[in-house]
Amino acid sequence: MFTPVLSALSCFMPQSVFGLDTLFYPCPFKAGVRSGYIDSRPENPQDHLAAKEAILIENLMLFLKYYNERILLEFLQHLKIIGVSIPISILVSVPIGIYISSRPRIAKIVIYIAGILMTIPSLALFGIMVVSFAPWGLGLGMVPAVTAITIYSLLPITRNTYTALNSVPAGVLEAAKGMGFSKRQTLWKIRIPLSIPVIMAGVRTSVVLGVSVATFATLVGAGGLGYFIFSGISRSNFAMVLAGAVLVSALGIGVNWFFMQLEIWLTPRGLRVGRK
Amino acid sequence: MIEYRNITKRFGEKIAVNNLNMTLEKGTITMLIGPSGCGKTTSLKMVNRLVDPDEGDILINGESVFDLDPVKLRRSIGYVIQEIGLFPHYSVFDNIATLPRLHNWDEKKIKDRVYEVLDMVTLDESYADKYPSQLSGGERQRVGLARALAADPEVLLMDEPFGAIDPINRLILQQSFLEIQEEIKKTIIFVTHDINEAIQLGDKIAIMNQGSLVQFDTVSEILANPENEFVENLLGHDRNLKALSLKKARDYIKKEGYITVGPDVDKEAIRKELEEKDLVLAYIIDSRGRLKGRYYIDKAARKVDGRYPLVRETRPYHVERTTSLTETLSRMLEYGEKVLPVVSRNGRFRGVIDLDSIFEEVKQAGTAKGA
Ligand SMILES: Nc1ncnc2c1ncn2[C@@H]1O[C@H](COP(=O)(O)OP(=O)(O)OP(=O)(O)O)[C@@H](O)[C@H]1O
Ligand SMILES: [Mg+2]
Repeated sequence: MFTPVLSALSCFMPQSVFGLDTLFYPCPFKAGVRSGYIDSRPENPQDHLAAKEAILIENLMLFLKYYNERILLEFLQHLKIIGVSIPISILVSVPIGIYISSRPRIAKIVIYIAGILMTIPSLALFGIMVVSFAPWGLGLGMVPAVTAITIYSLLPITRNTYTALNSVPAGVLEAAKGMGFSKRQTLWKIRIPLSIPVIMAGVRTSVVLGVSVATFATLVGAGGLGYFIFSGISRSNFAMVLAGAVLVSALGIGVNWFFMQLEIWLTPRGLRVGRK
Repeated sequence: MIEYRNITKRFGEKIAVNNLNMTLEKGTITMLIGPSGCGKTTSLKMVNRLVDPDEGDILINGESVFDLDPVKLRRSIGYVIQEIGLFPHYSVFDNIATLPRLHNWDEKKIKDRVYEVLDMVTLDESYADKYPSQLSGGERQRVGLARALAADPEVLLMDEPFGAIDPINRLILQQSFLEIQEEIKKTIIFVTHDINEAIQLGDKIAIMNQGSLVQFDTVSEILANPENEFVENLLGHDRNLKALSLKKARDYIKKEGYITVGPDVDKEAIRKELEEKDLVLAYIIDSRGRLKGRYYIDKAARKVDGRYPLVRETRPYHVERTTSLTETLSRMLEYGEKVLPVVSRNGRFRGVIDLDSIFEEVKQAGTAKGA
């Protein structure tokens, strides 16, 4: 099982990532399988890959052994970045979504702008943040990272809030109005509760997106699991890159699951029960 | 009492309602009918100010609705729509409790009232904890009606409430709606597309066409004297027959042309009495006056020993006192009987109704029309 997966992966990785890590002093990783390439003698490719794999696994073990504290630290830091930016994003996007829900013209513009923000390449956005905050001495650290991720997650939440609030069935709104609900009561008692599942789906999209974008946080000095990926690349340590990537994915899957449970829990019961 | 005074409503160039004048008596059902787009919904919605007219005034018990705060006004009026609009995230209980809660009733009173109106719309208490998605269309509309009745409004506005419900359930709902109204006596405006529904449920019918009121009168008056061709077409060719649906069997009961016998009377004695009186029908009545069956001399059968056979049936066809003449007629045709016994709701025998009385009624309606 393991062999073909790694073999496939290795095809995409530059040779250096497997090998040249011996140049890196404090990390006691072994050199990769260069031999096969150096003396360019055709060998049995199976043996070749198996040898590569063995070294990779060994390197992974060493990595985990020497870096376990750092892994925990950066993992928590990654969570912290998300844990700060997503609530900020919710606090900004949901009210915006509510505000524009009854103003279709403004809504169009707002969603368009949020859409453009999302198309900025994430790396560039982090760069822009660094430059923008530099005059206040905040160019590095949590501030630019959190801001960039918040900006990134605006669109899914705003758009979902807007869409959900506007897809409450007309009959329900008509009944509410006819029974003497004020606009505010209709919003709080009818439209928002009915919109929760869709808003939460938007939040979930943002969180998952945020987890992966936060990989770049390390580049602006905010740490996080991106550290392993970028250090791994610069040290040509495939095991480190792989570990970092797997951790980011696992975190993404984890928060997605968590928010799915939250979504179910927050959804009003009447929307969850079907006909028996 | 609701009064429309010179009400006109335009949407841009289009006149949706044109100088509407109409007074609806307290405790009656007024059916609003007419072709699609003739302004029924618009007329209805002006009462609870979901739409404001351009001209004219609407008074409820002498007070102009335009002097009232629209939100307060709406809370005092029951509103039922075709889409029903139950709140999907509220249980049946909470849906029905909506208006009482807006009125800040205490919870005990709310609870009692919710169960009271649930009972009124013939849903048992187990429905209270269900959600709208767990109900059938008919049940949902019952809950919609219960919700509108919960705060005991004096006025009820209903916009094609049974329009989306299948014919069988619609009949059942119409029947229970009439029974409920019998009890609560609200002032009701009821928009419909269905002339039969209008005839069945209405005290009065208001017929509209292109924003104007064409005829506004009691159901029997409209059936007897349609204002013009438009109304005639709306009523259909069978309006004499439709008029029969307003009339109840109880008003045509005859107490002759049959004999009644106890359950244990000897067959020979019955035959003897029937032959003496030159009759063929004997109804079997128990000691509490309930219809148990009948004997009849079957003159279509072959004679046995020179006499027609006397047949006994234990479950004779019958109609109830409140059965309409149309229904009575259709049962007569179905069963092949010219005479049917009429019983009260608890099964007591009250007499018979015969085909001739129904024919007589149709004939009279026909002459009234000619006049
Ligand atoms: N909000 C509105 N804006 C513009 N025109 C409207 C509006 N509401 C109703 N109208 C128009 O006013 C006319 C009357 O509409 P209304 O809804 O009262 O008809 P209706 O008799 O209830 O018809 P239906 O039987 O199809 O429900 C229609 O021509 C309709 O297009
Ligand atoms: Mg309508």
